[in-house]
Amino acid sequence: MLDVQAVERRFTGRGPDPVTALGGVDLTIGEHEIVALIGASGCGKSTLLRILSGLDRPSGGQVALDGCGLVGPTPEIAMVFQEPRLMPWLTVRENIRLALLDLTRADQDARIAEVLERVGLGDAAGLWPRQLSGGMAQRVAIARALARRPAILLMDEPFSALDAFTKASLQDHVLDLWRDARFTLVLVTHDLEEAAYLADRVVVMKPGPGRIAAEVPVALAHRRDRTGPDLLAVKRQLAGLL
Amino acid sequence: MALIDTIAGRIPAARKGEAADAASRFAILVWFRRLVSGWLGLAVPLVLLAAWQTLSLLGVFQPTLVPPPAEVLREVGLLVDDGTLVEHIAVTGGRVGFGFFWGVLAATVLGVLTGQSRLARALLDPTLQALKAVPSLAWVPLFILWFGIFETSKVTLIAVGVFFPVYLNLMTAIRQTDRRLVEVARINGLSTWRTVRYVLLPGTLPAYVTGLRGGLALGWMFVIAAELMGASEGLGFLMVDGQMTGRPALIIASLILFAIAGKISDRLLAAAAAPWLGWQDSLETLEERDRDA
Repeated sequence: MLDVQAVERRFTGRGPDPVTALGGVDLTIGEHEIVALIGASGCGKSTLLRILSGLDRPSGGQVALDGCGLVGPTPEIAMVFQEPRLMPWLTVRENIRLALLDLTRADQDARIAEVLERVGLGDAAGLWPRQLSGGMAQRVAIARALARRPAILLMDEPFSALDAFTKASLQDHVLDLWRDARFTLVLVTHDLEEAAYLADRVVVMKPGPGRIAAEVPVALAHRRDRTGPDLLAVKRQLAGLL
Repeated sequence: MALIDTIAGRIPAARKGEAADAASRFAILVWFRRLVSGWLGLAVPLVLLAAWQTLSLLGVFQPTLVPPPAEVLREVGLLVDDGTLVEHIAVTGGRVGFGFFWGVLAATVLGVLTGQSRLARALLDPTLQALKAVPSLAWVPLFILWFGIFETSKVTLIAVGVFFPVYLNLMTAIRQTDRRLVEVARINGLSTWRTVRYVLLPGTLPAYVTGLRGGLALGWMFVIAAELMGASEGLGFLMVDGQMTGRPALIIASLILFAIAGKISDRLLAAAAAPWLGWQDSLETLEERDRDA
């Protein structure tokens, strides 16, 4: 369980006063839940995600993972960024190995084969990042994140750079992975359909300073009908809140 | 081979022999084209050589100013016969080598320092940039005064020449390292050492190699300056010697030897770095260009 308590984040801006990106956010995320963070740019959703990942530290308040305070990156929490962020000088296999350096060589190889198989890229281990399409590269990034078998997967607008078809198929793919690997998924998106399609709960954030404006539970079974009336109703509700 | 298989695979079985023939013809064509493009770089020197020889035979060139190629070759032959050619090349190459080593060492240490630390950059970089603006030959009197007329002043001058391209490329590359890739390292729990090894080092290597190659080229340039200012051995000495004794063939022979030595050392450096840069999107084009050169 991920527990966000009164988290604030201030940045020193150009002006004399610090800019408040997050002003006191409280949020609890349960095990195996899918939570989408949505909101206009500047609402602090990416800042919140970076704090959850341990890449950024809150200026006030705290984040606890299963009761323990989070002080930095941990193997329990993995992150997929907006861009694949693969090292161009490493093959797909070696890129994933980067997440597994603490294991023995044999364990690394087994894990790499396993996660690549899982994201449907079993044949791509020897390829260089430049040889991958955008969708494939993002799958490798997901494989790298899952290689450490995290309890929580954070995704920061992971599909926003992809075309509509690739996006839809990767969303379904992530749902399959989520079902099999049973991680908690926290996703930042600006795409209402993506939020409505994937999330069990949508957290709507507002800027100035960044805060949670509303939480919308989505009580629909997964593999939702993208064009059905239920999803449309959720989207309409979210649009009204933004 | 994959290509051959594909071509062969698309043809009905009865005509497979023919297809294999076509495929092997294609492979030979590709091979021939590679060979030609590999040697194409020699075309211009050969044409120039032919023009030089022809114009010499026609008496357009004064032999006392522009000797014919045969004369140059004879001059080289003389040096080979008395065994001094290897010595001269070795001496010059050694000076470049030592100067390169010290220049690269200093540039690497300072480049990493100013690339990594804001304080070091603010402190050192303006001075180094100002020194860069000093013309190389302006150092000569000072170095002779400080280090004498023998090897130390020469090697120091070369090291100064090598220093700047290496330093600038390395510092810039470190400063421009992709923050986003460093974050990937952090989120995966990589230690500082592993971050350097897997992210910073490979990321800065292409620019570093560019700097090394630029530095080596300048090293060859500065060794001439160093040897012209006073030497008893080396390719630069041969040039001065040729000038003093009125043997233009010797000067031209040294020029050509310089060109060859510079080119070979650059190719060796590039070849040594190539295995580490295979990932680059642009290396194929670069190699292509090198092969054409």
